[in-house]
Amino acid sequence: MQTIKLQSSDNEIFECDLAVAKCSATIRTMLEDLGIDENSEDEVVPLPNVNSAILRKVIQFCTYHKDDPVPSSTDDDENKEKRTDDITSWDADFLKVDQGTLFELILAANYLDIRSLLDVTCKTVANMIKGKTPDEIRKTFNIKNDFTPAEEEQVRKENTWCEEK
Amino acid sequence: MDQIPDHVLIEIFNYFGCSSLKTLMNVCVRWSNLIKTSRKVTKKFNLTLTNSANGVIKIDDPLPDGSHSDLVIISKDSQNKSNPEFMKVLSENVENHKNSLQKLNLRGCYYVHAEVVEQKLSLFCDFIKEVEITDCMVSNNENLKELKWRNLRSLRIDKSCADFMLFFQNSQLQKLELSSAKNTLDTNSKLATFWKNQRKLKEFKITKTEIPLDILLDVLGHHNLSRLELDIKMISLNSDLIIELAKDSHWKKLSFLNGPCRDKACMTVKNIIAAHPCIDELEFHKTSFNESDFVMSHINNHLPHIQHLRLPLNYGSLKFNEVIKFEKLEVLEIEGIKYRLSVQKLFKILRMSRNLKVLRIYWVGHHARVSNDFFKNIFESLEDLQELHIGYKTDTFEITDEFLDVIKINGKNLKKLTTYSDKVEDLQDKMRIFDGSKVKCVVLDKNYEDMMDHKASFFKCNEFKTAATCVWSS
Repeated sequence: MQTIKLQSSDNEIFECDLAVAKCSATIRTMLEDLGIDENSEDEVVPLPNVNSAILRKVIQFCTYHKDDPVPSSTDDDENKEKRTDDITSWDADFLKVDQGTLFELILAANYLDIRSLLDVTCKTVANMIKGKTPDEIRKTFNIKNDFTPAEEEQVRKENTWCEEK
Repeated sequence: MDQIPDHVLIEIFNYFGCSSLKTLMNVCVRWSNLIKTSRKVTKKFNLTLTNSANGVIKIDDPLPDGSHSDLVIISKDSQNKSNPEFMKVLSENVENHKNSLQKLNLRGCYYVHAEVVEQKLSLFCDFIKEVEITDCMVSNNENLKELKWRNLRSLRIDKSCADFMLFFQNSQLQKLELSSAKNTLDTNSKLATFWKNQRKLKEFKITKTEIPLDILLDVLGHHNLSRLELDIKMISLNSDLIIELAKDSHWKKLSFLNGPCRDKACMTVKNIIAAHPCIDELEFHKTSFNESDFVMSHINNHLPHIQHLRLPLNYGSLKFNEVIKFEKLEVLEIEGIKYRLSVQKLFKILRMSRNLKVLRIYWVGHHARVSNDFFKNIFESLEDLQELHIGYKTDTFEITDEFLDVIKINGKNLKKLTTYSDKVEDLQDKMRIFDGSKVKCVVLDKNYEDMMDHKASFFKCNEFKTAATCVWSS
């Protein structure tokens, strides 16, 4: 099995299967376009935006999912009502992490361009939002309410309007 | 949460429907703005007004401030009289939402134009970025001509009598799609100036539409187009001038659509191909040539770097003995294989296209006698094959265990298999064979209408009869 070395932001080196690393479109592009030689033993791919704890998780995720089919364009049909309740049990277990880690995984998935990881992490966040009031959402994610009093008043009005509907 | 990029946040929002999104808008300024401005999200907040025999139906999903970005107007009154109630509702709603509208979608509006659309369009046409018109009459009157579509980027006219000139007055049109637009184009010579002034147009698609030669020439000579889709009937008007004008353009993708391609049209196709060595994607949809060998020869010799090729039922005869050079080909689509000989032709291409990743054959005739050996051979020739689509066979085609075994054992790099069956449900057990492997199976019900939208629509499509006659009489 061909392997590749990945270097995290805190300079830890991870050796993993090439097939696993190639779950990341960013790494795939780097290898293909920049001509990093896949055969060269000493070549290390630096990933300055991902720390070792997160990279370890990402590799774990990709190792489990490396043989998944690539989603075709019809799968992400925009008109289809998107579901959030179809997270597999393995993924759900994998994402039983604190919020900070979850967000770091999102950022890593975004940077490394790993579609499946980004999808499932976004779904998880959507599930955390679901059914909550704006205030509860702010508390959950530590978001500051930055509306001006006037805007707030507007929001209040609109909410009443919504409820009336 | 602050670090999460906008586009990721929008993806999260996309999991929610209108009412939840309204709640989310109250969380903070950033969320509120993202939901209000992202097209992906705002299109959920549309206003649909339907004028039906049973009265006016209004489906209203506004943003919290009551605004919409999409206005869909559907009118089913084919009678030549207007419905006052509908006019009233329409008028009120257009007035209310004029500032937020981004897309206007008109369907079946035969008579609306006269009283409301014309008067009200001027209120919001300045904001609209996208217009879609289907089954409509839009009259060509003086009021409409005064309208300024300053922000219009995309215009689609389908099965309508609508003068598209009306929409590009002062516009920045980037994408134009005309389909079955009978009376759209033959207006007058003003059209010629369209192409001269529309420097921003990047994509042009025209189907089932008669287009006068001089206009076509202007289209072909438009050097900024990156994507052009042409109806084959139009280019039966052969002219050296077409070639002359086309040779400086830089199309990457070229599609020829619908219909028999004979003599002069065939010559034109060949010459267009020859003049465009930078094309990397070439498609023929439901097209049949009477000089298929020459066309193949042209593709072979002039497009050595082609990556994506879609061929019609008859592409090259057995007499075609050139060495196929498609070394960079990654996607090969073939509308059908009918006879044993078609299989031989196919393998001739496959032998030289070692990099092929996707092979889609949309229809398989039973005379082709496609057997399990056929699939073994495919995988032997194409080690990198990742996707195989094998179309419906005309005789009683059953997905046998042997067939699935062959795919499983030989398709070492296969990730997706698409095939057809009468009884999709009965297949679930059989498909278990792929559990735990990386192959994703898609089995399409051959009776299922949606399948027709899939590119596999070949054997049931209306044009099939014409195409088949052409193919087999030549």
